[in-house]
Amino acid sequence: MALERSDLTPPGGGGEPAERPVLVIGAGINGLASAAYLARAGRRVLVLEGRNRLGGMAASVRLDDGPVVSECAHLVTALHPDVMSELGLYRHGLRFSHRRLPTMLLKPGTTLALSEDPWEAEAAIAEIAPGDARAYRRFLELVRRFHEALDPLIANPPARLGGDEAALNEAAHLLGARIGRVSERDFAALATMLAAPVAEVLDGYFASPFLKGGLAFDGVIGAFAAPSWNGTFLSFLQRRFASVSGRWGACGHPAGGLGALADAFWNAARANGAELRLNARVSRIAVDGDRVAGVVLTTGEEIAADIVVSTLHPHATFLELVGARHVDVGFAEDLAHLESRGSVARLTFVIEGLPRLGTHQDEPAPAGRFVIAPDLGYLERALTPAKFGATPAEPAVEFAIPSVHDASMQHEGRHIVTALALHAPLRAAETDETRAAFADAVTQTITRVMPDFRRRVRRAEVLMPRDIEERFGARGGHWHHIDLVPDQAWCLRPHARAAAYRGPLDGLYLAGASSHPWGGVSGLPGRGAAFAILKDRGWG
Amino acid sequence: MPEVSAVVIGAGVDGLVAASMLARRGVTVSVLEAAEEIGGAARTLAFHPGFRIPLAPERLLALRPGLVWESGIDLHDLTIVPHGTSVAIGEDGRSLARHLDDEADLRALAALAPGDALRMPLFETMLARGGALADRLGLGEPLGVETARAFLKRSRRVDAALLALGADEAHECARLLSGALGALLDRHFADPLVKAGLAGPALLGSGLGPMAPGTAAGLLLAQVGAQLAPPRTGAHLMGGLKGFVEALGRAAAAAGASLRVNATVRELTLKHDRVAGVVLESGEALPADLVLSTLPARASVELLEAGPLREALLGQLPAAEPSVVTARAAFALERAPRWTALPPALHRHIGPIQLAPDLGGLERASDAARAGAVPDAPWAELHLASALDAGLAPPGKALLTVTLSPLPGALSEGWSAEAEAGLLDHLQARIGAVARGFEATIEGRTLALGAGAGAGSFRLFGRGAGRLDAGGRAGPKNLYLCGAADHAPLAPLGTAGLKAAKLCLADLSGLKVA
Repeated sequence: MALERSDLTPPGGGGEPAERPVLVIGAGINGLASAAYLARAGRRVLVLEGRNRLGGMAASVRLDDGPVVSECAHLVTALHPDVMSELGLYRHGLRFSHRRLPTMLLKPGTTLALSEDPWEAEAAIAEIAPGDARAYRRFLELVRRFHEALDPLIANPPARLGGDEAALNEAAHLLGARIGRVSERDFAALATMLAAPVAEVLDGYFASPFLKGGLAFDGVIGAFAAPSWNGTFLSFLQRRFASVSGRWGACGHPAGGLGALADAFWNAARANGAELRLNARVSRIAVDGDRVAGVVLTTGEEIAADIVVSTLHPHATFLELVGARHVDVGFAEDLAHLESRGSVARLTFVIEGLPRLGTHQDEPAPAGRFVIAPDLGYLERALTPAKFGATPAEPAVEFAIPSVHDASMQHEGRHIVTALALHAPLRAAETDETRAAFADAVTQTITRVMPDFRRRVRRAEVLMPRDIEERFGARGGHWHHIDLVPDQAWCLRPHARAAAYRGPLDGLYLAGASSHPWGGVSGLPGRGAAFAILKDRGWG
Repeated sequence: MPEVSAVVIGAGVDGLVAASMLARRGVTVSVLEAAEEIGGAARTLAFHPGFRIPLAPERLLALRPGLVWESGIDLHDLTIVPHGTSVAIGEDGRSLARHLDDEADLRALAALAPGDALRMPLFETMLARGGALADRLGLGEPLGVETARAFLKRSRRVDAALLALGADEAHECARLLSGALGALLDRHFADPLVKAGLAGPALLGSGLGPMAPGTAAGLLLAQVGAQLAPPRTGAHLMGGLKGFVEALGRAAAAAGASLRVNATVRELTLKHDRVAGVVLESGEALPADLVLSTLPARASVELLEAGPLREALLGQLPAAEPSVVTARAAFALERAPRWTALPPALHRHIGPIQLAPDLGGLERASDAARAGAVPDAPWAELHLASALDAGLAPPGKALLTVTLSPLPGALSEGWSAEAEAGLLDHLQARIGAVARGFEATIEGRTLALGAGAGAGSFRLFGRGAGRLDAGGRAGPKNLYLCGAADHAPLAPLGTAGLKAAKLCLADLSGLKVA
């Protein structure tokens, strides 16, 4: 298929006989999304992946002689519907083992199931906090209206600052056009809440500490933040602004784990002729004057290219691969100071049989996304030790038992529990002891709401933030590469001089989680970078 | 404008600013103050024969010239004395004096940390630039409840302001306006004491540690008031904040507002979901077209006449207690202390002295206070208040005041005598460590809580006082909140009052058109 493609004359490409491929560094979701969009537009694309498998942090891996499980990311929450439909991911083999996992908030003695069906969720809330049931509907309504107002900003490229008056005006126009349609009261709410602490917003709606803690969890997961910190409501919205089921707030699990999602992206790219090389680690991005010339692999092999798309952290892209001497001193200094403090540990437990919820002892645990964050203070306390490299006594935990709905993960009567725990410290190094101690704290936390959990655990694997950094090359083990905070969002993401997917070097594009709008398996940065290339080259 | 009457509940800074602005535009204003004197958090209290403690911190952080102008204060009524020198003493005993004079300041910095001395002028230029931008964006009036049209008008100002900047400068301003203070200081300076001296005052009132986003903007507050007080060393307002409130009171009275003390409001009567009037404890009833309350939102709602509106609003407003508070302590002294930990030239220093924990210490103190514990070593700033305001201590004696922050909010419920003694003993020992012989000169001491302003960090489009809106449910249309507790912290003095008054006036002009 690749051969057929190269025989075509590139539309508007100047008619060179053999078009040099666009090089994409990293076969994570964003790299694959970029490749798929570029290939779909008829461009030659070569994806270079340093590891021996696809997917980056959205990969699946076989536990030795056991089942295949998600390696890092474990649920799909933020995959943008435009990406799904434009790339035809279902056509390319994507199957969900569950598309509407309810979020179940757990604490000893209480389970609150927040179904994606608002009526069901309201009824469940009414049982534990009658006053909050109506407020929940008003809150969901607010989130929906926020989404309506903001989605065009999320799915379109951000403005670029610095003298580019036309682009800025265009962005202001877009913003103004949206805002003009928002009612006055909504506007006030939007302006006040956009950078607000998630705790402040939830305090305005709900009385139940339990409900507030569970909802606030989504505002701090993946970020080094406490719910009282500015910007955490934006992180919360990031998790609510997409849905694989079309209903806000539900999350999904691909059959075969997150690697299956990466496969679907890759299939979409391959179907249009994109090529992929695994075990091809880039050691350098070659620069000719102020434009890219290609890449050099660790093997010494050189690949020439006019366009390079990097999905890596900007620190890696500019300071390690390009080299500080090719970028401006001030820019290099800013990149060196970009904070990437990962704070989530990923755990995989192999358990014997299915555990039971403490509140439902007579039936095995249902399918769901379980959240242990019983109140706002709990989340605040979980961050405090991590600031100084210590482990919280009571981590906040999100976990799922994918083998309940994905039979491929059941193995000889054993089930799989995948968990994310915060806040895990980013320490200089981890040892088997520090990992085991953290796994024990998480086991203990889960056992409080599932009394038979600990005795069923046969095996526990832990990836601390430092482990995630080492395994996936994500600086600091940070999911979004850098926190999603107002001074690192939109036209400032990851930096005013590297916003809108373009850096200071001609031909070098940024498509990682640190590009607009965010990571979290959304596919949007990859899509945005591909569109930027097509626009710049007139390949639309 | 037709005859309009307004009642302002509370005669603190915000209440008086609002009263003054409304009265100057022809509204008939009555200010009702429950205490026996005006001032609110700016009052002074007697605590030892001949000694008084001002409840408000001395540091004049953010007095915008615009506020003085808008409230009709006669500038001659205010005497502002810039501090020539301000000192920070680190946990390790090292000290750093910052001077109003540029050359002296650089010399002092260079002696401590030559690299940081080189970077300071650039840093201060950046702050000035950020402060100017923040002012243009309306730092003085954080956008809270504002119309979309007004926002768009402002956003064009933002566009123009951003376009004038390069990408780097724009990003730098964004970091100043919304970033974390610690990260900002780390990228500019190496010496922990240089960072600590800048961080403590910037965090005052936020209750947060330097890691939290939105704390860097604390540095800009001083810039906003730069025309009245130099940001580097600060200034002393003669008579303290009390002096300022008295000037405000005179301005309000001159504009025609009536000020009543010992007037506690018992109830706000309602008519068709609008406030119809105010009933005092004495039973006296006052009609009102507008009511502006400086009480926190929940306390304001509790005053509403019983009924479905009151119940619905109370259901939406959590019984919030401030998570952290700033405390004030004062020591009545036989004579002024000798700062033996400072170089000889500063032994008789009368300007501010910070006992400055480093960034990690500030973060820990905030974590402890927010978790309900008294921190080991909270940030403290000492002022020899009697040196500038002679009335605070008997002749020949000295009053040393301390601003202590943050402390757990639960203390605002009241604290035990032991807890108070423990805190004062600890503080006394910390001061004794930098002023030998200090403890022997103490004649009396006291501890008081400053205003329990809401904690949190700055947001350009922050929560702001104004209309009551709880979880999407609106309060009475003619009830306005203008208390600092419901305003985003790290806003300049009087912002809540200014904003509520502007909102009232906008609504009134709307009425007239209709």
